[in-house]
Amino acid sequence: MIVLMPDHDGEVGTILVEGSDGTVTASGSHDTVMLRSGKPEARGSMEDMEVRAVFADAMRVEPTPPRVFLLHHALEAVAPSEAYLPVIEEIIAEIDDRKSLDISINGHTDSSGDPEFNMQLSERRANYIKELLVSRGVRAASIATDFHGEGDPLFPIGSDAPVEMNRRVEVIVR
Amino acid sequence: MKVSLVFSVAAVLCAGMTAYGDEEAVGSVRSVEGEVVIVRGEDEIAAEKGTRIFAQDVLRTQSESAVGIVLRDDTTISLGPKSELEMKEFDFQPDKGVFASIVSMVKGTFVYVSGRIAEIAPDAVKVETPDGVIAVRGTRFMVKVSG
Repeated sequence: MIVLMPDHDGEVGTILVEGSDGTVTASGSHDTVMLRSGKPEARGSMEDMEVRAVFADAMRVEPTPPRVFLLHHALEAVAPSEAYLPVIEEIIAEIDDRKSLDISINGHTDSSGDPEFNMQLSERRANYIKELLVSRGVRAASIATDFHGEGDPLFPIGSDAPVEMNRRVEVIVR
Repeated sequence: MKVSLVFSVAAVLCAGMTAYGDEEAVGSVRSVEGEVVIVRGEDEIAAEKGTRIFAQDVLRTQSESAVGIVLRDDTTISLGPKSELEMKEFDFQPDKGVFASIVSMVKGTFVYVSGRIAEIAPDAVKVETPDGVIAVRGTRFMVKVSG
């Protein structure tokens, strides 16, 4: 049995239930599909109380969606711009709140300059934030850093967004 | 000059390997109730908050137990009691355009909330069940697999 439910923002997505004997699409809140012996069957929408009864235990431990923070940088700067100092405090508060042991720090650059320099710059940006968090008491073992140089722009080259938006460190607190 | 160039290329390659090698965790345990084990090859590891999860791990909950996990693309999956989930395949390399997220719900109850891979490359996300496959366009759904 498969039940499509609203996500944490209240939005309802779409799933396709594929058996050997056909496909059923669910796209409405509480849409229910039974799947037996390879045959999917739409069963209309399930009562909310029933959903909560069947899935109570799994729902109780459902993780809070990860929170993503963005820190932006001046051209070629390793430290984020001063305007983002309050964001650092928010990150630390979020880590404390969740008692998070799983934090990702991803460094990025814009596409100006040499790609290899950018790769190293993105690594230094990520490590700078890691060291900052560790100096504030976050366990280093809980932090995974990664860096992408100019390879994973937030806004593709040629889009209307200003290029400095791609100079960033993403911090994901899980 | 030549030496330093070779050196820096090697450094970039090594960095790539640590970032994307098979050794990298695909996610971690966020919350545990009761008894939950992670089966990794021959080993059985008791799951605790923060325990890393790798591709091919199997998560198993006992009665009156439950577990919530978060994957690296921010997918979240939680399991109710007497449930089993296999992490079949996971690959998340946005800068190379490489994506895969395949889990198998063997038995039990589950809540699944899709993450970034479902946004960027929906065809790469599959949830297998004993009777068929769920293609995930997003985002939150629940599954009960009767044993």
